[in-house]
Amino acid sequence: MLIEPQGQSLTAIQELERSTGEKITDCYQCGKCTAGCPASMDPPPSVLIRKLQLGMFDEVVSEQSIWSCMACLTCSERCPKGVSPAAIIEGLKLIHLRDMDPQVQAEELGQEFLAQSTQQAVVSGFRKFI
Amino acid sequence: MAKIGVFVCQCGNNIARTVDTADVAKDASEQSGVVFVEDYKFMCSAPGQEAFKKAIRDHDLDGCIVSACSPKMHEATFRNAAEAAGLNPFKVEIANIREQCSWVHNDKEIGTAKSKDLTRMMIQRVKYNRPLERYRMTMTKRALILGGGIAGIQAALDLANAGTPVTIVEKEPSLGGNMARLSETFPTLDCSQCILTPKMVEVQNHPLITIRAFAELEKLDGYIGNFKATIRQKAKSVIDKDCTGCGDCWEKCPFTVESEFDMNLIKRKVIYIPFPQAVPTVPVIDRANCPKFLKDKCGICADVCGPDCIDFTQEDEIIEEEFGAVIVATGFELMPNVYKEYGGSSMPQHLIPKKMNKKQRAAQPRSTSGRLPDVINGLEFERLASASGPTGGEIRRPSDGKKPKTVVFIACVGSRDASKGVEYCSKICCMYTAKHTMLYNHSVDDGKAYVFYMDIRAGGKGYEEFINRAQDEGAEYIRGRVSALRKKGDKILVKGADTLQGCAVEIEADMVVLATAMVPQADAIDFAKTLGISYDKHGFYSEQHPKLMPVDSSTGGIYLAGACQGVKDVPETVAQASAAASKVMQLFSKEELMREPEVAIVDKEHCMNCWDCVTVCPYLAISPEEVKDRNGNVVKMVANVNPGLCQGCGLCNTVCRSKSIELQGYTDQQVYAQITAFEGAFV
Repeated sequence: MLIEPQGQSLTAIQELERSTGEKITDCYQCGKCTAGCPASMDPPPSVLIRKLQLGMFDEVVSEQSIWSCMACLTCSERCPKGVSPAAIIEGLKLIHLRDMDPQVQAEELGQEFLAQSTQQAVVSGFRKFI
Repeated sequence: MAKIGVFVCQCGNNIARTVDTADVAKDASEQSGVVFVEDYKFMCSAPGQEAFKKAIRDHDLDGCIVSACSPKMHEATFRNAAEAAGLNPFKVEIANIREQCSWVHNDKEIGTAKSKDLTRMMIQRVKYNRPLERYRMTMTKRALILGGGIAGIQAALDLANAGTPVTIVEKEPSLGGNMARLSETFPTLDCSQCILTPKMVEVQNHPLITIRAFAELEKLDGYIGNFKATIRQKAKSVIDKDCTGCGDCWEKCPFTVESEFDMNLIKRKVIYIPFPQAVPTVPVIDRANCPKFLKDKCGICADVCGPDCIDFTQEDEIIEEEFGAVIVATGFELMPNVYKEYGGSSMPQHLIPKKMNKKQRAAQPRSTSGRLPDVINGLEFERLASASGPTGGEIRRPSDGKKPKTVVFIACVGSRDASKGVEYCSKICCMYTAKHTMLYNHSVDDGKAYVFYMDIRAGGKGYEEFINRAQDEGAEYIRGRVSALRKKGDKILVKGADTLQGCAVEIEADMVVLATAMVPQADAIDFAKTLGISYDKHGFYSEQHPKLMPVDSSTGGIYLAGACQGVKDVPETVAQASAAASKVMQLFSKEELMREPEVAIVDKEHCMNCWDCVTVCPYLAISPEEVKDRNGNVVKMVANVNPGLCQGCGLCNTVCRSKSIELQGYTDQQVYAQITAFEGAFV
């Protein structure tokens, strides 16, 4: 694997840092976030952050595992360096949603499905999947 | 008319690159009173200093300016040279045209203009410099050592062997400190007590060393060469000089409490010595737990004591002694509050029985509630592994005494953790964890040791080899931090990560050992205030200069040794203790003490005795003094400065309403002259 400075990704990562208020270079890869993650993300938070440190933004933002993050904030609470992996993953999700095609179309859900779902689930689902 | 010489240094290219030194010299030569000017490549070199001396002699100069580097660097050099040439050293001033000009400016024009200004200011200032004499004072050639751990012991032996009388003050009943707790030491795996106790015995038998065990320093007054220490000798309830250390009293004592020396893993008697090789071998009664003191019952120790040396009425004794120098060697402790994060499991309040019977109490091995009993710290593991420890050197877990088959060692607990612990690296943990895995593997043949680490820092002689040996002997190193510890049956579930694989891992361990960060003693900051020395934000005592003065504290005559100054292993502690001892010897090698004359002096005629100076003085150097007429009647009170204590900070100078207190070498006249000469052409 060739590691090289990636101009485009760097801007994207700076934008991610700006919007989340986290500093990705603060992470010293202790793995405590991975160790405590109840969602068993794969790849785990520490690997995602490592890839961001190396500038692989495009690869990280399209990882499936960011969608298994439940934002329980266990990683953020335990991080010894004060980085919040949950916030970074949330930022990645938002960037993904803004840039990518929606995975779920609201119109296709149908009245029957909506009637059966709880309101909060639908609202948070919109935020997550649209 | 003043005869001033100006010496402009080029400092090779350091100054000449951004300052036109020839122009500075030319400008200086045009100032009134300047009779000699020189522009030279290296003023601090031997030929440069010779030229400096020659100019003073040839031109009979009565003031010199050296426009060169910071006065911190070479003021002493040129003042000494001036003294050798017959000029009062305090008639020499430095204009800093390196750190304050050439190094901070890129523009040669600005650099040159500023250098001219600084030099001119100094020329005006030096015209008002008075010749000053250094103060000479006597000193008490005895050293006080605070703390009787390995640092204190080493410093005491070095000093006493050089002929200096030494007093060691130790707050515990015995010397030894934390090193006495260790089972073995890295990287040689030799028994800690075997190398420590001969030194303790040597201290005990040395005619020049006085041991004050079970004592604490209450107050330290005075200044370098003349300290006055107030020491509280806590009541041992045992008469020191009569006690033979036979051990009858602590064998017969029917009451037990948790042993601090054994990290609360077992019980000790209420009248006790901390460990069998204790020095001095004089027991003390733990009054907080002794029924004789609590409800006037028992007293068996007094009955069995052959030489009748138990004295229940003994009281704390206040001892005042004079010393010339102090070595602070108060050591460290392990970070206490890490268990909440690592396996904290405080039992719900309603489940804790209010009154425990004997069996329940015995089932509670340690008073530290809210933690899993089988999660222990490094020092507790040392006691478990120690031949003189609670298990006699067999590694058994504290909860049920079983031999643990799987042990997880966690590095960087509390350290390198800016969010919840301390941000520094505790430095010794990598090594002692490797040592622990070896001790464990030697003790439990079929056991498996796992180490969770982030980085291995083994920068020392033979250290990397030692880590390799630990790995060869079966320790499994996993790169990652541990997130949580949970109780699972009689085991502990360790939830960690392997960052090299990029996945979470779990291990069911029988026992977990935390490599907890070293932190200063809990009362380190209060103690620093008692001593009047500075400390960093963690409570470690600050050295004067991180590289060049690593054993001097911020206060003259007080030196630092060991882990109270920063995290250290045993070899480094011993080295620093010897260095501190050599500093004290250096101080005591002179007959008299020389003090710089830059101290405050009081104009007694004008002093209005408002005592503002007394209030602001941070060194307690100013005190009221009576002025008497020839019949001995008190006419008035004035302020008086003790030149031994005064550090020349100038606070009194600024608050004085009647302008009757002045700092020698920095008088108002000098400073006004300096300011007036400022033209600010470069601004």
